[in-house]
Amino acid sequence: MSAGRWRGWLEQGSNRLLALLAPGPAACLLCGRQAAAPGPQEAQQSHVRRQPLCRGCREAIPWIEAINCYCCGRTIRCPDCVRRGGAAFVWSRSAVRYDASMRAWLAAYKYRGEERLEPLFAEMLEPVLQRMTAELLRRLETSPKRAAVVADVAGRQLPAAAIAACWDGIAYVPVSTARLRERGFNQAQRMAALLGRRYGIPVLPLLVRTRHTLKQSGKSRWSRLRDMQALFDAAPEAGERLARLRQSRAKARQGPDSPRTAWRPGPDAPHAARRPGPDASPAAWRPDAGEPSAKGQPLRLLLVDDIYTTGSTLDGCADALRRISDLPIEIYGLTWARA
Amino acid sequence: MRGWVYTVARGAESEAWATVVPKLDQAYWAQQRELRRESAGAGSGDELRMLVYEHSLPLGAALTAAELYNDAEQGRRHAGAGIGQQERLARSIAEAQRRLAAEGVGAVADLRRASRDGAARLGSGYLGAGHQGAAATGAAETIAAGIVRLRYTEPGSAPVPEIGRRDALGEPLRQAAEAAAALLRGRALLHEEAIALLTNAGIATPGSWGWDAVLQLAALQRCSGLRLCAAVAAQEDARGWLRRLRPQHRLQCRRCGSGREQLRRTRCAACGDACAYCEACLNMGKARACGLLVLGGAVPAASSSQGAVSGASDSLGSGRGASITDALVFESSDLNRMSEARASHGVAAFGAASGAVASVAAEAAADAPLQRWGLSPAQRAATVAALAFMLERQALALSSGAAPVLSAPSPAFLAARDRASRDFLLWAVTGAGKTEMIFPLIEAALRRGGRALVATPRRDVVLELDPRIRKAFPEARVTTLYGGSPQRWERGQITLATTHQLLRFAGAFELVIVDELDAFPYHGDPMLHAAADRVCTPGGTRILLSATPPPSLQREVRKGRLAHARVPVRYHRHPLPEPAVLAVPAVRALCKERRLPRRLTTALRESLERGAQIFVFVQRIRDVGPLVALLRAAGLQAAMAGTSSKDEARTETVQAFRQRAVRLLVTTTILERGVTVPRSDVFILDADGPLFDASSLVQMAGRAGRAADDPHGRVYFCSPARSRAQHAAIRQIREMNKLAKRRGYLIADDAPQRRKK
Repeated sequence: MSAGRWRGWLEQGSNRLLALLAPGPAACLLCGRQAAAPGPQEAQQSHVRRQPLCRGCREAIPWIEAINCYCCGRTIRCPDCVRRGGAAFVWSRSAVRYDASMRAWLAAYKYRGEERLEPLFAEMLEPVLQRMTAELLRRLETSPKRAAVVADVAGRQLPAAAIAACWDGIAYVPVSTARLRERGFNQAQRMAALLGRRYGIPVLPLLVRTRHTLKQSGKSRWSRLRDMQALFDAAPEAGERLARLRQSRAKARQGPDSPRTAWRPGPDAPHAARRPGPDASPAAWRPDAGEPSAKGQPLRLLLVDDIYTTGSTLDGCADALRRISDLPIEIYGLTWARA
Repeated sequence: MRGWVYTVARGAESEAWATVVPKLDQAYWAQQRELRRESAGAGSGDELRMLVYEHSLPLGAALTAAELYNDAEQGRRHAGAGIGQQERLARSIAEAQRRLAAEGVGAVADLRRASRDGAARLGSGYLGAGHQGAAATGAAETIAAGIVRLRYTEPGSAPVPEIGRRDALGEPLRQAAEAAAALLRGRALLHEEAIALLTNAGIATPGSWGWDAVLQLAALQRCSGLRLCAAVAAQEDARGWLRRLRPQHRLQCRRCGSGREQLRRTRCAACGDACAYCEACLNMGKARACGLLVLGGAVPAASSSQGAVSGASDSLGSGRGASITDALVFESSDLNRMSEARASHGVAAFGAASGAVASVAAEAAADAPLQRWGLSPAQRAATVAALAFMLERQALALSSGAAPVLSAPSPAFLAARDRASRDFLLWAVTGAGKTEMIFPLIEAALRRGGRALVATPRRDVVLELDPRIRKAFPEARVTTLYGGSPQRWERGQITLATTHQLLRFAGAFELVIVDELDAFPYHGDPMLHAAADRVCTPGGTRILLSATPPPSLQREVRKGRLAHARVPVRYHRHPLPEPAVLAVPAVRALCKERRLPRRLTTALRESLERGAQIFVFVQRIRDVGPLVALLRAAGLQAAMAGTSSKDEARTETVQAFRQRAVRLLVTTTILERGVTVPRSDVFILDADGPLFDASSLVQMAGRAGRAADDPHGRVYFCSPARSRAQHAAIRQIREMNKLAKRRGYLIADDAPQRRKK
């Protein structure tokens, strides 16, 4: 028997052994079927990149791509926002429409307690946060030329540093102590924590729920609104936390390199935007960076929740947040689903 | 949840407890102390003393610490004096923390670290070493440094003075605890499930005490053997010789038995720790390391034919109709006669019961009650064998001790032997009439005051069985359990349940009938096997029903280790149709070439001409559509349809097939079981494919010839090659037919006819 043949056998054998050791295809988080990567048509749209999902579940996600209400990010024109008038938050965006399948997903996570779905929910917020940041940059930009560049950049992936620079902190909607004990987790806090870790934005426990209300699902709009009156309050030390955040952000903004010069939009700006060079500090991404910050610079906070139904929860929380300190705070809602 | 650990010492003996309502425990022990004082006279020296660890712990850690302490105490009693009580408690707490933290199950690194930090705060400096038994002095120093602080409390003195009053507990609380423990017998329920059950049963929480106090008092008083433990806890893993030398502790779900692969650690707001929960049984509620699992005591064995034992303590179960008991009294002398007869035939107590031997002995005794069910001779013989087995088990349980349930847990090997000897396999061919055969068994169990459980894999089978059982036993309380069943917290004499519901029981039924043990949910799910293993009372019997027992059981049968009876013939007493083998290319090739071989079309045409409904089984869902198209083009002139698990109109399609609006149905294995269509023939394509094993083939073949007016349905295995599975299936069917002929079960003028194809 020749040596070559032996080697062939050995190779074959070792390959088989290795094949035994190789991990199989990941199973879909929701249905356990074989997971599939996002298809080419999804590349331009929102999608879930890291968590394993099968094709069916992937396609079942009703992403909100085009909005029709500036205030609450709904896909249709929204009478609620018109009726409410001024909300305590600036505006709010959601990742998905709350349809039957999303209802089932949320029920599995929130009520049944399948905490392995957590990273999926958090990841689903990422494209929205991307778009929110881009929208914010566009709206805050005063020079039309720069706005055009920002719009161009925003069509692609914003770097994480840009997102981190744009938002000063993440707050979340609290649940009551009794519910927290029963459920073992607060879904809004978990999503906020994962999102904060992903982008390096500080997540702050700023709010508490003062009363234990019944579940919001299955209530009329009016009773929800009434229930939300003074339901949220500042958490202990919330004021101090905010003050500290404000200080640290102000310091970061007045860093050694002047941000205004670090990022000057020009024809090659989109490239710089995609891969910020060593000299482009994150603060450079802040459109209003370098403004006098003694009092006027508002803190920009994200407020995370699982569902936006009438907006009364977000409104109540935003109101409570603004009462915490007398300095200006801008609050933007970010929710997983828009009912 | 968080809990507290404390020890109670009387003289030299001490025990540890964990609690979530320390107020109750203090009141309870204060009362005990008073009682002892009164009976023994003051100053007798062996007063109750309590040591309390003043910090709350995650409940799992608290319960584990108490368990560890008590285990160590048992050892210490033999070994003599050692370190002080305070230090022993400290060590137990530290060791409990270590065990729960040791394993990061699917945990992100920082969670694991958080958990380890928790242990560190409790003095992990000495943990590793202390565990090795090398640095006991270091441990003492750590405690001295105040890392584990223990505070001595006089029961009743601090910190809630009025708690010490003797009447603080009060009679209502005591009664509630006893009633709750009785209701929870035979149950394994999560905290919130137990509360739901008690609320549902109409028990009220007394005064200012909550449910936790009721449960804790029941555990303290050991009412009906009730125990509280953590739903996910570290258990000793002694598998393998290496482990036996140095046992390791692994987290395990105590409800479903799943190990670390199914556990997930998350930061838990309820206990403030990185606590693990079980993903395997999440559908039945969340079992977590800081959550309580309430284990009711086992249901006591029925000791007499009057069935007075469990009835007295259990208010729900007392609706037992007197007329049933009277009408079906089965004298214990019959039982004795039967056992004697079996013994004289040389059947060992743990040996296999051959149907023939038992039937000879038991027929006379059991004849009268059996008549009522109108069984065929084969059904009757097997039923009698099962009955004899069951009654003998009961006699054995009674003679070996009045109440084996209440005694200390038996050694593992005895428990294993008990498990092995309580199973009885009823191997009945497809269409044998299994349901009729379980009625006499249930009847016998009820008559002896026991409870019966029928577990089947599918919900629709449960719903279909429900009216039949209620009709057969109009006097009995029947509870039907499935996901979302309104009777969830009730308890009857007869329980019908889907297999997942078994997780909520432990040691609850004298008779457990497990239907289709080899079918889908059991298949490859150790959790359900564990659950089905546990629901039986220690002296009870488990009857396994199957037409195609899994290979492991068949092996046990062959080796004579598993008691069994075969029903080799269908209820209509005609032989099973034997499959004919047709050489037909694979479905894929057929669809590609768009051509059907003539021998297949001829056979199909013959079947249609004789007026049969035709099942065509294929391997994969994606084959269904193309094959239907191909068959439609073959000019057979019959309505055809295809269905699969993905078909939304499946129920309607099958309905149309039953009503003969559709003559030929292409389907996957979803219709392999439980479908009875009179006058039908079966064609199995790709019969050599990997998805069709022998039992699957036997089940599919079993769709043919089920009706009495057309007992000779036709079965074809169509494949390019003959596989081992096909051989095995054909052999199984032939063996059953031979056995039926030998025993004379077949109708005389009907020899099995072989069709040559």
